[in-house]
Amino acid sequence: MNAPEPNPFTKKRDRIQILGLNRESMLKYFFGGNASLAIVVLSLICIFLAKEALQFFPSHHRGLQLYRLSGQEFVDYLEDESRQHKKAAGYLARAYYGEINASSKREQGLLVAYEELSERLERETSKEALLFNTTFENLLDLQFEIEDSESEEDGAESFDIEAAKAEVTALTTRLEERRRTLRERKTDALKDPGMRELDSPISLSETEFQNIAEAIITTDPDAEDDAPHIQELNRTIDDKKAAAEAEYQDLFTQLEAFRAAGRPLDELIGPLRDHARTTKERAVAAETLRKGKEALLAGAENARDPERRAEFLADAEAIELEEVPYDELNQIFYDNIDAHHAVTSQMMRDLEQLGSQVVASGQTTIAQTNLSRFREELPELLTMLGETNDKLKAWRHDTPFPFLPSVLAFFTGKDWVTNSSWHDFYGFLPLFTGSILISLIALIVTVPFSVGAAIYVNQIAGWREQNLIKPVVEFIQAIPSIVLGFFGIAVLGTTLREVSQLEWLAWVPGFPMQERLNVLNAGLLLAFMAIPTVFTLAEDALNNVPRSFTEGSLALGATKVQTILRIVVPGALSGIIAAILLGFGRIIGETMVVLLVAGGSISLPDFSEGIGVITQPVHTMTGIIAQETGEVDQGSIHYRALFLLGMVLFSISLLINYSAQKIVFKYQLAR
Amino acid sequence: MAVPEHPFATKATALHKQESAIRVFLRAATYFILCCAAFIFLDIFLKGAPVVFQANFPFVNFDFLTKSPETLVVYQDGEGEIQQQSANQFEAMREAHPDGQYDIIGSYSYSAGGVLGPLIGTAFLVMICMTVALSIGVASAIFLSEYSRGGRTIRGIRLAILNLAGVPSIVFGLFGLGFFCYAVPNIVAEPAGRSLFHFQLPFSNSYLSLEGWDACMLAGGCTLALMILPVIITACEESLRAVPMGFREGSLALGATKWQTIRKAVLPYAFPGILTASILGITRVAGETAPIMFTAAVAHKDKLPWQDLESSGLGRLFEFFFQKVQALPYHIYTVAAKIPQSDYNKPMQYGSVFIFMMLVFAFASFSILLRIQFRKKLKW
Amino acid sequence: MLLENPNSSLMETPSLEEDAVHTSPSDSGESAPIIDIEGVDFHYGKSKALSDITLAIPEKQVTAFIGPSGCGKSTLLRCLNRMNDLIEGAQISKGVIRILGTDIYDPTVDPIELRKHVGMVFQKSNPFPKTIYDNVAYGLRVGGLTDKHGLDEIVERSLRSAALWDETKDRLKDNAMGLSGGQQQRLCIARAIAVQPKIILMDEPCSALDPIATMRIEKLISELKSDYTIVIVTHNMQQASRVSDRTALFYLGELVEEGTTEQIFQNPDKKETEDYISGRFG
Repeated sequence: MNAPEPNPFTKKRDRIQILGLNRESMLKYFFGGNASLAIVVLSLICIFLAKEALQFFPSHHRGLQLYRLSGQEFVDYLEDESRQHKKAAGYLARAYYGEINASSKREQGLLVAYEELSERLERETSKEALLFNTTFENLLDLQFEIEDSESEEDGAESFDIEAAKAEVTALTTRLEERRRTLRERKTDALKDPGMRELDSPISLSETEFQNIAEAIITTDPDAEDDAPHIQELNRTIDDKKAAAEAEYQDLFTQLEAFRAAGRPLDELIGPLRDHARTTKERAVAAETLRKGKEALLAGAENARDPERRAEFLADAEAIELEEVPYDELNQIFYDNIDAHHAVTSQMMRDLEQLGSQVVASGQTTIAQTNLSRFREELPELLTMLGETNDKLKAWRHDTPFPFLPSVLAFFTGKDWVTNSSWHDFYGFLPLFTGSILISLIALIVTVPFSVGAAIYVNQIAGWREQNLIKPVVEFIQAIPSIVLGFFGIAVLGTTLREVSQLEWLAWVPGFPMQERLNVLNAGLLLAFMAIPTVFTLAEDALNNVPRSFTEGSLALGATKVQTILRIVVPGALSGIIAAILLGFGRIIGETMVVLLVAGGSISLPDFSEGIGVITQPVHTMTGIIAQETGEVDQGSIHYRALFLLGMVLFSISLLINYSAQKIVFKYQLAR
Repeated sequence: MAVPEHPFATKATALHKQESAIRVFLRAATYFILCCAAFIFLDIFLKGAPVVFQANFPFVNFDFLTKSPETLVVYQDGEGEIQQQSANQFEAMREAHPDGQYDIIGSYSYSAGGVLGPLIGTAFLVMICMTVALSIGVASAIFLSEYSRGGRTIRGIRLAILNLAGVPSIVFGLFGLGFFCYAVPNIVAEPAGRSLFHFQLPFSNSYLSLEGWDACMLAGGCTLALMILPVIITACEESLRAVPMGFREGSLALGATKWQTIRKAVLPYAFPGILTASILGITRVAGETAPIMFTAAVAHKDKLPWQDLESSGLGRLFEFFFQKVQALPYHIYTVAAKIPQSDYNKPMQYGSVFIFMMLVFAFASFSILLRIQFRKKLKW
Repeated sequence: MLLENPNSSLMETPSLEEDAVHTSPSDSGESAPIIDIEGVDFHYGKSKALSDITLAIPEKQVTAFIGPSGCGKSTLLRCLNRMNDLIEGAQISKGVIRILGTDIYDPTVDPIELRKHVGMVFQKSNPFPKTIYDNVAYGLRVGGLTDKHGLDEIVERSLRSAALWDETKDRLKDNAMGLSGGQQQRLCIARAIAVQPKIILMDEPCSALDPIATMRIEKLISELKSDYTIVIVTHNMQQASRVSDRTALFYLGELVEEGTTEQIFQNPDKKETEDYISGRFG
């Protein structure tokens, strides 16, 4: 019998087979492998961030340990007292100078106006002034040479005095000519009405302006003295100040006494500080040596060449390790506790007495506020002086620094000080606060605009408008963040500051702003940046609300807006919330804008002004990573601290994503 | 209230006021956004265009496009006129006329010359990035759309993609530094101290060492590729899914294998979508600064990437990819924030930003136009 | 809360007699038509959807629009409460539609007010994702009624009228999405009658329902016609013959024939009507 006819549907064997896989399944696994790369990448990010970030904590702990061992901690207790004393003294001084300056406020305002105006004119007439100066310098040089050759009889051969003198005359004429041009140019420039808008705290009357203008025009670059009017002003100021100084003699004496009371403390701190620093440097050097020796020994173990091994071993032998005698070195601190006690008790007595002498209230508002601040700070200073000695007595350089507080010290630290000669502090709070502040501003601004626009485009706008708006939003998305950051520096910062100086906006907290680059500036730019994200996602969510809901509502006699507010927006609410969350993620992770525009001040912003805090410069987590990572050594504690910040950012972004997904998912179940 | 003449006359005036107030608010919010965008574009255009274009023939300032950034020297010549020259030109001139009088008033880094170096650098970074991202992205998308049938792994992959999309770009920068610059395998003559693991390759003096590539073009391109990957995967998958099921069923019913179906009946129709998405991806990648700051970018470089390579053969290729490059966004960062500001570096700042924006918008418009075109053409 | 004068809300329904008296003098022996469509042409952009429709719909009767799909019956229905306004480019290019004697496309007519008088039930039930109570109260609330007792009362009455009260009285605070398809559709009817319209438009209300739910809705329709004028679009001729008093047959955007249901089904004037009724096309 013949073999059975093969079934026409039999599986054909593939010609190529590797590891039992035919072409089709190989392809499948290839594609699958690529897809799982997403998981691999995510895990790799986790691993590589965590690898560095988690090593931060032991290094940080060691750093703090050394901070204590070297006595720096002890010295910083004393420094805290000194700082508090200087703070109080500062308020007192500000009160005093407030009073003194108030006496000649008008004249000083005029002077400020004069300086501002001359600066502006200098800019306007820089070319003419330069020409004038060149001629002037040439003239001086020439005259100098003539004098030279006249005093040296014999050197006159090569120098034609007559020709030179003729040239001097020519130059003098040219100088006068240029002087005239310069003055004319100045007069012209002053006619510009924009010249009258000055930053000076006082507004000038016509005569005052004319006087100042006159003074500026007649003051040429070669003038040795100020114009008479300005000299007069300066004299008046001096007189008035002298009168005021006489009047506030008491306050001045008190201020001086207050400052003097702190001097013994500072004198005590000085040598201690140096001592602690030396100890630390010694410890660091010893540590470096130890590491070097270890590396050499390890190298010797790995070296295959016996000669090299011997070499390594010899080198390692040559290194003498030093045990830093902390007990001995720290003795000086313990010895000085009593001296400190004496100093501070004396200080407390002096200050208490002085505090009661200082007048209760000043004449001017500046003096009043500063005096009241002084009164707030003084008791704090006194308590601090009273308590520190006990703290010092309890302090031991060899108490080990517990590990958990060293972790907390990062998350609650208020200072981020790196590359310092004293001690590097890694505090998370200023950066985190900066990030959060900027994000909040951005979110508050972006949400109404982007959600409003999404509702408008989706529900109200006709297709023509939609076809205009949607591509524009796509273009906004395409603007690189560095361009926005540049725009913030070049345009928005200046504009914002000018706006904040408008008088009728003075009631806004934080206005007028001191800095061009600050939270508000960065927040506004980030708000603009987040618009496409929030807009697109929110519009999608609105689009997903079934049309039948809208029709049903309209058929019941609801208006368009009623339908939007009662049916469409609630229906899309979770989607909109998810959109806002993802926008928040985009904002908090944004780097270049905040690096360029946030102001870059690594200190905890001052919340005492309330909402006015938004006009202060800050630094952010993303910004500091971008700024410092390029400059640190791989594996240093600083490098690890930056990776830890990256880890925190990464966790925040995962958390935000997770919540957004949760919200959307829950909503889908409900439908 | 007047008696309505018919039952359908408007009754609720307060309601209407509220209605129009809300409409006005929504409309104002929308148009405010458009105005902001217009203001930014206009500002950059008005201040940047004069740098790149000029009033007389040939109307384009070719120097700006064909030179790399140089130091700007501001000096005063014999006649007391203030002049500006790039440092190279200034030196050349001083050599040519040694007796001339030049009082240097100031010199400003990166403020003269043009943006050729940064442009080329960005182009290479984008090319590397898109090559890597597209090959991985398309393959992943094919798997997700054509092969996957749900289940935990797929859910995991999707979750990972979603989460990856939300990771801040600076974190990618850090990761790129820790991974590509300091940890991936590299073949070196002598392993560096940071090497995680190394061994000597057989029959050679070189070591294979896990010490990374240091900051270089390749590391930057790969970092950017990982960053853009989720966007590319999602967009490609969408394009694949937009191809009607009928095409696949038709092909399978004719006896084609799965791969034949994908290659012949799915990919060609998904191609336009993938193309538009990648062009849009290019605009995003080109604009990113944070990921390349420590992985690839350098502020100053005299030579273009292909000039003055020392090695030959395969080594040349390695040398080419393992060098740092200038990049346009990083250049803008340098001139806008890292050098002291003065009026003399304004033209360079605005000129670079202008060129950059033009490029980004050209790509973005191209992608939008392509999309419209394809939508018109392909209807199923 | 939304209205400046809550008394002017839809709660005081002007009696129909009054309107009839001062708007449309009746010249025939029959009562005057509540909806009067005169020579209406309708366009979607450039394409014409209805041409020269003239039709009078009498009060408190059920009028059925029948015809094959795409014949314009739904379009005409949606013209009656100006839902077509929402579609860009859709407009009546010729003719007049009068409801209660008023031209509803007159500029002084507020479509919002119109829709309060002309309710609508859609092909696919579309309760809002809110509670049953809130669904029924929605139209009243957007009309400005906030009084809790008043709302309670009307919600109960509407649900009773829609024969849904017994099934839902214990779960008024439940999400309406949890109701069955037939219940959802009856909820939509209750929602429509809660604002006490004079006319209810129904756009194939039973097409997505099973036969038992369909039967209940049909029963409900015949109960409601003592209080409301009902216009129903259907492609199911049996349904038209079961529930309607009058029937209008549309074909390709034109009104083929109109008359009492009895006459249309048993003694049509036109050949096309007969062909359609007997199932020869459509």
